[in-house]
Amino acid sequence: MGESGVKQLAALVGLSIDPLDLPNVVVALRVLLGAADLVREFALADDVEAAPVFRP
Amino acid sequence: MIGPQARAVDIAAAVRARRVSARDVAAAALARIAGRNAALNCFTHVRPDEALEEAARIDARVEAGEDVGPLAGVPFAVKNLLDVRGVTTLAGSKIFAERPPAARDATAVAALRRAGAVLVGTLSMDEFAFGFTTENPHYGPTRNPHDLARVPGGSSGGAAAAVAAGLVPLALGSDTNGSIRVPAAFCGVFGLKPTYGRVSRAGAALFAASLDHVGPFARSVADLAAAFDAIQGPDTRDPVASDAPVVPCAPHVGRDVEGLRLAVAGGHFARNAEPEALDAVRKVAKALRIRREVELPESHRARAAAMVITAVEGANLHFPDLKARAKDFDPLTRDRFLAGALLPASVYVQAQRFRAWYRARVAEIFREIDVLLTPTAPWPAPLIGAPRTRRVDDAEVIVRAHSGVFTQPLSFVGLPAMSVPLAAPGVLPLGIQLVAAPFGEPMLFRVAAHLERDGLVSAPLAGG
Repeated sequence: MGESGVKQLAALVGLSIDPLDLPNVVVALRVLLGAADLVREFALADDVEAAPVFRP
Repeated sequence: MIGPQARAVDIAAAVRARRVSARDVAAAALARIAGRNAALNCFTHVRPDEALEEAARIDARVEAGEDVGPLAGVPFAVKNLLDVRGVTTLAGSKIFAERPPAARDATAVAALRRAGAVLVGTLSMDEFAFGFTTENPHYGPTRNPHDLARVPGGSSGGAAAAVAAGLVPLALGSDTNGSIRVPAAFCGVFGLKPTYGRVSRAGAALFAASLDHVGPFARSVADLAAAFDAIQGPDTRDPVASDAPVVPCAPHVGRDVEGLRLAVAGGHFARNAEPEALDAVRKVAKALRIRREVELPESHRARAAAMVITAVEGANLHFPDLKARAKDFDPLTRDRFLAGALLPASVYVQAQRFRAWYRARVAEIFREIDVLLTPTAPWPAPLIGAPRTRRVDDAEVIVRAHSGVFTQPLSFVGLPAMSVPLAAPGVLPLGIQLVAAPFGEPMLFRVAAHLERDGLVSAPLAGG
């Protein structure tokens, strides 16, 4: 993910990122996407539900 | 007789017995803060007049024969993310400086005050608790009292530094991914991250709500237990507070480890660190005659999932300010919050589902053992302004993030974890992390107290 991709993604969620901050946001997002890959590549059974407890 | 080295439990006994006045104890703590805070930069606010008045009221109640509580006259301070009535909760930010002072105390702060402790001030932190160094650009870096050129750890860096330097015997902090345990290790003090939901977070500025915890720092195991016992328990103000029965931990401080099933963590927890951090675990394991090693599977992935949840929940919480005034954030948090706002929802949900999977695997392991030992951090305190990356165990890692490599997988599933300090003259302290199954805090205190009695762990005063 490069600067232009991050800029487009930010626009999609309603954020505008200062061009001076863009390089660092790209670095931070790459770190997070690396973590996201580790999470995504691990197969979970369908009945594994999200952990947070909702108490009505 | 009541100097900076005095334990909280001894101060309280002396105040109750009228061997010393709470007012004199508070005045001495305030004098120490006045003398050392310019160098350490660990306090964000000191309340001398209120503290002296409150201490005098404790003395009047002792005089009147009232029971003033187990922490009578003990000075304490709290991370400035916990509400203190009349003080603005900055959470290390410039943005919150515009907010009005808090209208009431956080539940944990109120609990310590009900136990007789005297609040002397609030403490520094990384902005919005998103860091492991307390190199806060808005308010300046907090310094490690063992070496002023080094970070105290974070995000509860002010709390660890204030306790290590003997400015106060007790402090409260918060821990989302290691923010109590990492600074406790770097500053050479005891720090407890309780079971998720065991200590109320009501009145604490949230960071990543599904991972946030509140807990104490101290320089002795007995003090840590006294503080934890004062703050643990249910709270209707906190939606995740547990209704589980409260088990006081102070009575467990005198018990031995006989009968406890102890093990050392292998795999992820036996790599990723400087040799000295791993050697410290071996040394303690040998003293405890531990022969068993267990592996918590997929702990690197648990850490990754904790990073995802933290970034997404933090970004969600601060989204309006990220949109309207991103420039007012600390550059170190701004980039990571902005990145968190861009992650797809499916990754967040997957991380929360993985959390349930990992919790089940960890629960299986804790059916076989009672307390697990790991290093708290992969190295001793880094220098302030250290380079962004460094090599460890043949890999290039981000220094700030990697400090939580051993704490993150465990808070991810809410396990109680305590950092106990290994101190030696002339070297920086290291921390050993003791981990138990949910609500297993009494066993952590048994092991910590055993190690303290044997002289293996201790928190001598730093600097000064």
